[in-house]
Amino acid sequence: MNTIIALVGSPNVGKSVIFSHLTGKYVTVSNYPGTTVELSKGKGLLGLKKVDIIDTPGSNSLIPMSEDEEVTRNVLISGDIDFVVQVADEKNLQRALMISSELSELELPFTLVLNMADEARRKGVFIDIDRLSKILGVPVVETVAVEGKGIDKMKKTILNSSKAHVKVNYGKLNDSIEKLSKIFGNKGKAIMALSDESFAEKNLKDQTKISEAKEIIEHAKKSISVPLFYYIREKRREEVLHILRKVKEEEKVLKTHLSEKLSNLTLSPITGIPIFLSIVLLLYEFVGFLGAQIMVEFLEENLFGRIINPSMKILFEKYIINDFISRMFVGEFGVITMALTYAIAIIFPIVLTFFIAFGLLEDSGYFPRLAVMGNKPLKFLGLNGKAILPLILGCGCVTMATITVRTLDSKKERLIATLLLALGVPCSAQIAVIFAMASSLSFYALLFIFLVVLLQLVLIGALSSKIIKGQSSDFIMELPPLRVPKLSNILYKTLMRLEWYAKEVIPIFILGTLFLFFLNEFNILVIIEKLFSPIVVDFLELPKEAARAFLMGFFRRDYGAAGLFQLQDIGLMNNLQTVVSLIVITLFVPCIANLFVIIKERGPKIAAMIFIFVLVYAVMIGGITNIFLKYFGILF
Amino acid sequence: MQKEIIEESLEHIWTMREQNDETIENFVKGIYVRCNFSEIAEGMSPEEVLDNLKKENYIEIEKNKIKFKKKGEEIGRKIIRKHRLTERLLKDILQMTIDEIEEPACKLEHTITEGLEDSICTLLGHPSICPHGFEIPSGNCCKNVSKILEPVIESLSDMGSGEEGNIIYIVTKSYPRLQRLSTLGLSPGSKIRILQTFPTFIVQIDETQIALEKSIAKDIYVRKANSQGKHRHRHRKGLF
Repeated sequence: MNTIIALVGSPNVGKSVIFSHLTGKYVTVSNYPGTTVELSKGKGLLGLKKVDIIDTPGSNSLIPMSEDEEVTRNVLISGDIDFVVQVADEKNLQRALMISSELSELELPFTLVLNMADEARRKGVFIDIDRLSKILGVPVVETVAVEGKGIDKMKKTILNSSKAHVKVNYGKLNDSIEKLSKIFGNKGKAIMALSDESFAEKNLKDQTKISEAKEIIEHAKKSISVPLFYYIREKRREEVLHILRKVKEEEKVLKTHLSEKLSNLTLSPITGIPIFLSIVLLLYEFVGFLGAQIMVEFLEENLFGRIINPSMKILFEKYIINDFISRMFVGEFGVITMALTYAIAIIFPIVLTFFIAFGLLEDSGYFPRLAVMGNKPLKFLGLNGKAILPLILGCGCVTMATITVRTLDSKKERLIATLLLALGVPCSAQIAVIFAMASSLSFYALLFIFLVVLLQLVLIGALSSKIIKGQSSDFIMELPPLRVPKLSNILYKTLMRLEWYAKEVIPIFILGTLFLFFLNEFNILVIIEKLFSPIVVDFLELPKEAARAFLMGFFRRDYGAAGLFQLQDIGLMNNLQTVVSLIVITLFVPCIANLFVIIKERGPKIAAMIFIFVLVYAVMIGGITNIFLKYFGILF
Repeated sequence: MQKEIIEESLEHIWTMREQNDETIENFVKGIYVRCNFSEIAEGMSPEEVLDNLKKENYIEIEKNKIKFKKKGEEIGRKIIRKHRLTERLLKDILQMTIDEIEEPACKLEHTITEGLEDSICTLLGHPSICPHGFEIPSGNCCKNVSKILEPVIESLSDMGSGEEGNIIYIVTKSYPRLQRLSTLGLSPGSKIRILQTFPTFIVQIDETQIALEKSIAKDIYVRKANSQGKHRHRHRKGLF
C-alpha cells in the first residue's frame, strides 16, 4: 500500500498550489473553491517513493463547524493517514500553531510548511524556523509555493515528518482529558469529544464506553462555566502565544503596499462602487461580447453550421438507413445538431471566457471585497454579502451559479438565492439577445424591462426572507490580501473547470435534447404549444407563435429570446408586445440545465416548487405589465 | 441574621431562578458549594436560614418552591449585579483568569457600595453579561448612560476607524457564532484594529483582515489602547 499524505491548513494558505506541486498533473478531482465538501486525491513521487496525496478543504480548526471541516477532521482521525503536511500562511503563524497543537495531540507525524514567506517578509514578520522546529518537534520549511521556491526542500522533508510534542495545559480539564484519552486512544480525540457533543457517539462503537465518555464530559461541563470548546481554545491559545513569543519577530513596516491602498479603495463605498461597475463592464465586454457574440458566432455559424452539422447529416443519411435514429442525432432536436451544437458552440465559449474572468477575479481576492459592499442591500433580500458571488455568477451562467449557492451558510439563504437565480437573473447569452432586440426599442423600454425585473427580484427576495423559515447567517468573512493573479494558475483552474463542464453539463444537454426529441416525435410538443396558446394569446395578448418561443426558453433562455427576436423582426409583434414578452422570458422558468442542477442540489420537491412558482409568476407579471402599460397608454 | 448571609442566600436563589430550579433541596445542596457559607452561617443549617428569610419577609415558599418577595428580589438583584460586575472587573481590568475570579468576587460583593457599583459599571462600559455568560442585571447608571467617565471597555460597534485595542470579551449566546469568531482569531486577548466601519466593519487581527457586520461588532467588547486615537480628538472638538 502506498504511503498516504494529507494536506491540511486554514483556507487560503496555498494548499491547492502545494497539492499541484506534489501531484504534478495527476489530479483526479478539481476543486471548486470553497464549495467543495469533497477531498481531492492525487498521486505523487517523493524521492523514489510513490505516495497518495489528499487535499482537504481548508479549515481553521480540527473541531468542525461545517460539513467541509468535518470532512477534514474525519480524514485525520480515520487512521489511514501516514503523514500530514500542514500548510500555513507564515504571516499568520498564530492561527497555524493552533492547528499544529491539534495535530500534535492526535499524534500524527507532520511537517509544517510556512508558505507565502515572501509576503511575511514584506509585512515585516520574521520566524525563527530552527527554533520553531525544535519547540514543536517537527520539521519546518519555508516556501513561496506559487513561485516554486522551497518546494524541493519540502518534498525531501515530508517523509522525515515526526510527531510533535506541544503540551497544552488544560487547567481544570486535565483530568477529564486524561480519562478520555484512555477511552479514545489519544489526547486529540479526547479533546474533540469534549468540544463536540456528537463525537463520542460517532466514533465509539462500544455502548458502555460511550456512556462512560458521556459521563466524563458531563462532569467536565459542570466544572467549567464557559462552553468547553471555548475553554479549550483559550488554553490552547495561551500555549500558542507562548511559543509565538519565542519564535516571532516583527518589524514595523511603515510603507503601505500598493495592494493595500488598492484594497482600501475597493472597500470604501465612494470608490468601491465605481470600481465595481467598471469591473462589471469589463466582464460584460469579455464574456458577453467576446465570448457570447464573437466566439459563438464563429463556432455556431461556421464550425457547426457550415462544417460539422451538414457533414454529419450527409453521413447519417448515407450510412444509417433508419430514419428515426437519424432524426435522433441530426434532426431538429438531434443530439449532434442541437445538444452538441449548443454545448460546444454556444455555451462553451461563454463558460470559457467566464471561467477565465472568474478565475482572475477569484485569485485577485476581489470577491470578498465585493461581498463587503453588497452586504447591506442583500440583507434586505434575506441574504448576506456572501450571496453576491452566486448572483454575479448568475449573469454569466445561472446553472453554474446555482452550484456555487453551496457556499452560503444557511439553508434559508441557499433556498432564496436559488429561487432568485431561477426567477430573474438573466444569463450572459440571454442578456446579449435582449440587447440585440432592444436596439429597435427605445432606451426607456430597456430601462423599463430592467426595472420591472429588478423589482421582482427585490420583492420576491424580501417576501421569501419573511416566509421561509430559518435564520439568515451572520456576515463574517476573512479578506485575503489583494494579489496579482498568476496566469499559469488561472489557466490550470480554467482547465479543471472545463473538465467539470464536459463531465457534468454536457450529459445534461444530451438528456434534455433527447427529452425534447421524444416530445416532438410523439407530437406532444404540438399539444403543449396548444395548451399554452390561451395564456399566451388571450392573457398576454401575444401572437400564438410566441408560445413556441417560451417553450424553447425552457431549454435555453437565450434561444427563447431569439425566437421572440424573430417574431419582432418579421413584424408579428409591436413594441408593447416585445416588452411584455421580454419580461416574461426573463422571469420565465429556469432553463433545463438549471432545473437539473436545482434538482441535484436542492432536491426534486424544491425544484418542482420553484419551477411552478416561477412559471405562474412570470406569466402573471407579464399580464399585469401588459394591462398597466395599456391602461396608461404607454406603447413605447 | 447577618447581612452577609442574607445576601449570599438571596443571591443563590437568584441563580436558582435563572436555572428554573427553585426547590428547597436545590437550595440546600447548592448553598454549601457557595464560597463561604459555613463561615458566615454562624452554625445555622440551610433550612434554618430559609426559615429566617421567610420570617423576615424576603421570600415565601409555595409547594416546595422558593419565591422572592419584592424586598428579597431587590436585594438579590443588587447583590448578583455586584458579584458579576466584580467578576468582570477582576477579569477585564485586573486580568485574572476565569478560575481565579470566583473567590474574591464572592467576598468583595458584600463590601461594594452603591456609588462604587455604578462607577465600576460605567468603567466597564455597562457590560450585560458576566465572564461566565450570565446576565448582569442593569442598574440606574446603565439607563442614562453617562459619558462623563469615558468607558475603558467599549463595544466594537461604538469605536471608530483607526482605533485599536484588545478584545476583552464576546457577548454571544450563539455557540456557532462564538466558535466562528474565535477560529478567525477574534477571541479575548487578541489585539484588534478597526480599519473601516461602513458599509460593514473591517478589522485587522495580526495579519488578517476580517469583515463583519455591525450586529456582530456590537457583541465584541474591546479595551481601548492608550491611543492618540482620533476618537478622543473628536470629543474635544465637540466641547468647543
